[in-house]
Amino acid sequence: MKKSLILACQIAFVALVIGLWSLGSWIGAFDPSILPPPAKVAMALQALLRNSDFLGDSLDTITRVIVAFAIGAPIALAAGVVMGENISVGRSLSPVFNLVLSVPQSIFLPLFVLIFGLGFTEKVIFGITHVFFVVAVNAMAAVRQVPHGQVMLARSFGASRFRIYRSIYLPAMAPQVVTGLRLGIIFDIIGILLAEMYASRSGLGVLLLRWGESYAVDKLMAATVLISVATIVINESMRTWEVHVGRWREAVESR
Amino acid sequence: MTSGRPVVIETRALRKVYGIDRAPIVALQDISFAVEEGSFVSLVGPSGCGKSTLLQIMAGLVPSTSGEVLVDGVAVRQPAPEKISLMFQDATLLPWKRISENIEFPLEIRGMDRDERRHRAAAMLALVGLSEFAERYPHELSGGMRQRVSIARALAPDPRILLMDEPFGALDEQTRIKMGYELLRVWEKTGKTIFFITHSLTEALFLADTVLVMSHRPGRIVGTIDAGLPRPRTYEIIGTPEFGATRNRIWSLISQDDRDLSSEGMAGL
Repeated sequence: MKKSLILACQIAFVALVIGLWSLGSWIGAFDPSILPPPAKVAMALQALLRNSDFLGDSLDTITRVIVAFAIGAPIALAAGVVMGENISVGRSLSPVFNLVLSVPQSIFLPLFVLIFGLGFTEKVIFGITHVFFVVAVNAMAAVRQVPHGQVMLARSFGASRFRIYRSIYLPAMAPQVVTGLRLGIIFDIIGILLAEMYASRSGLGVLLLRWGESYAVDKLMAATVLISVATIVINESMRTWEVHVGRWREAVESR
Repeated sequence: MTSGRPVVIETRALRKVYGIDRAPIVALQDISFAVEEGSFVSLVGPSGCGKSTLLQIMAGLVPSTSGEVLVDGVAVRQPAPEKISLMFQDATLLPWKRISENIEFPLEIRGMDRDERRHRAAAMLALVGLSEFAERYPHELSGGMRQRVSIARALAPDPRILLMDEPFGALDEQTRIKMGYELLRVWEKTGKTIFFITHSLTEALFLADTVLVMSHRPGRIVGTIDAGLPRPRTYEIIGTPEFGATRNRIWSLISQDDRDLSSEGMAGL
């Protein structure tokens, strides 16, 4: 199928869902206290975007997400590279990492609150644990994909260690590392929102929880849509980057 | 090896042992030979006899356990890109770089300026007949073309020696024959010294002035055979009785101390 046709189908599908939603609300099929009509949600969204309290909570959440990523991602990258390069370290640690990846990290949340209390530190550390493993595992896999023959050849041409890292490791690792970073930031958002919904004084998570409990469904829906769109935008821009650094890989694989 | 040209590569009692702490494996044992300037020397031997290890030691990529490699009388302890270029079975082109950029890569490492690099890469591509592919990416080329690019890249820094590790081993037979011709043409034009590793007896003899025969467990040189064939080499030479007789001599050297192989006779070919 042509790309434009696929896009048209996707847009049509979203329009259909909103259309059915509007229609259902208009003929009274949905209880407006559970599912308000789209127009009402749109109005709530508009109001939220002018509300300084909401913007303040959003900023709190965004700050936590960014700080967790800024701390977690570089440490994870370094750890992944060390594990990938050093066979004995990798062999002993990577099974542990893979096991940890399969444990739902939400079960540690009560423990985190006990240890770190409620607040910025607890949220950020919980976010870091979400970023760390997925970025590290991908970085480790990326290092192991660096072709040994090319490294040896570069050495035979007299390349320095720095040159080999820059000219061979970096481009060879980039696609998989960016995949890890993309998943890392999505997991980070999941972690921060979850921590906020579980117990928090500020942030989008606690607002969602509060509006849900108080039947402020229009606001709840508006914030839900807003967060969804934001994460989709983040994910898709990361994916664009991923495709960009991985162009050579796509071409090699599709041969 | 009778022309009296100066010796450019010499190995002296090379020995390589892996896993010294427990169950040491002797990969190479007492490897001594000399390669004259401008000659074409093949090294033939069964898989796993340590051919690649020998080449990596000669290139200064891997240290030997004892013995030494001399290039121009100087011991090789680390890569010497101004004298030696390498080629592997896999073309090892960087898939994210264009063909011309791949050829420029060793020059870039050396710190040559951009214009000079471009110039040099274009000349090398012309030499291997791939000028029109300069702006393509490696995946757009066939296996044989990629190996020609790899030859061009090896020649770009203008080394005196080419060390080649089964460079045509992954190619189909027809491409392999063509690549052999191509390599001989480049060799005659550039006057490089070529040390060519292969497991194909026919390829080894067809290309070389001298064939070194290696055996395994431990890897050692069991014979040095003067090809004694006229140049330029043509495909027909492979069918001559002289070629067949020399090839049989190489085979008997490889198989004489290996009961598994000699019981199979020529089936191993």
